Amino acid sequence: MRWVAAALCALLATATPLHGQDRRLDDRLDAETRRAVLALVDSARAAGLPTEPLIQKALEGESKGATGERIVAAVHALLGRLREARGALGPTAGDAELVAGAAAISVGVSADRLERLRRVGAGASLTLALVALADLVQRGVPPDTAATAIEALARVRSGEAEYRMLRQLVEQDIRTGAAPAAAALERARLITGGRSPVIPPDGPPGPEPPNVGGER
Amino acid sequence: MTDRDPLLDRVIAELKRPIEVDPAARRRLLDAVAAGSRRRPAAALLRRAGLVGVAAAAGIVLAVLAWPGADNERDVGRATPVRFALAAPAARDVALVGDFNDWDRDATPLEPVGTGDEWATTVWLRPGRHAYAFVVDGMRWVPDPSAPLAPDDGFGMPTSVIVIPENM
Repeated sequence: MRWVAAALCALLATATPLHGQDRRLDDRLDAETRRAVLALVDSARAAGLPTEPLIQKALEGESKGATGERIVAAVHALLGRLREARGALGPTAGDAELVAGAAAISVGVSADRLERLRRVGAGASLTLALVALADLVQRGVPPDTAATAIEALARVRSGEAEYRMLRQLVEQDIRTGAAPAAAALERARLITGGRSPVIPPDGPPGPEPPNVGGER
Repeated sequence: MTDRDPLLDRVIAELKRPIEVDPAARRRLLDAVAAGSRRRPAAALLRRAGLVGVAAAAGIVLAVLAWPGADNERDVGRATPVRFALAAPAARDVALVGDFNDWDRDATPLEPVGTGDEWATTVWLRPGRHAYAFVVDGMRWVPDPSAPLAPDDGFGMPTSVIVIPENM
């Protein structure tokens, strides 16, 4: 019986070290950077957060020629934003939603707006909504205005086609001289059938999202 | 035809594999049975062999699940082919990098299409959010003009995002 237990322990021992290392990082990061990144990965794992996005962030930095210090800073920041995103999106949020939420936070969208977007009920399209939100902000739409526009689409259960249309139309409007905030709100209104709310750009979000029609 | 998870099939195959019993142990078992030994009854030996099998199976399952690529393998059956294309008429080579190929510039080269103005490749992606970019001539990072932008984390080179829905 003892040797059976010993055999089981040996098998477990061969499996568990895989959690403390990653061959991909071994090959591409210097020892100091790798240690720091792995410590952050362990923190994420302990917190029940996805670890693969952190590893990918480190590999992205290496591929872009970033310094070890810059890589560690980026991974550290991503870990913090993943925590914040989970706080806003809830414990049942999937990995893709958390990463998309973290990206939205990184461009200045508040956790409150993320939480509100979740409540609006984007459902299976929440990742799409969050990606579109971060994209609008990067194209110059103020974060709260972008969140209002995206909420309007989420309320009518928009899918990939609607979010893509919003992005392309806003981009086109901006290229032709429109103010990004006005373009986002107007295009969201048109895409949702003309029932989009008029929200003071970047004013504080109210307790309830405005009703723009569509199903709840 | 079944769409059962390939990882599950592998685990089941391992569990179904016959347990190799040491011929010496088998001989001892037969000797013990013949001698009517109380010290090492047949049932105990069989139980021991069974425990070894259980331990081995548990180890195999744990090793497979703990392997870094296990998550990817679990999603292989749900992957979707996605065509990536970039108009780059003057390029000598174009590569696709992203979180689906560990940002490896050598992993996914694009091929020139037609007269060579456009470069394209098809990659199987599993559901989720993926960040990616094109690398032109080994040095110039170009976002996908047809895709949403990913935020810059201070690395200073633009990337794009694609979302593969669960139900594609």
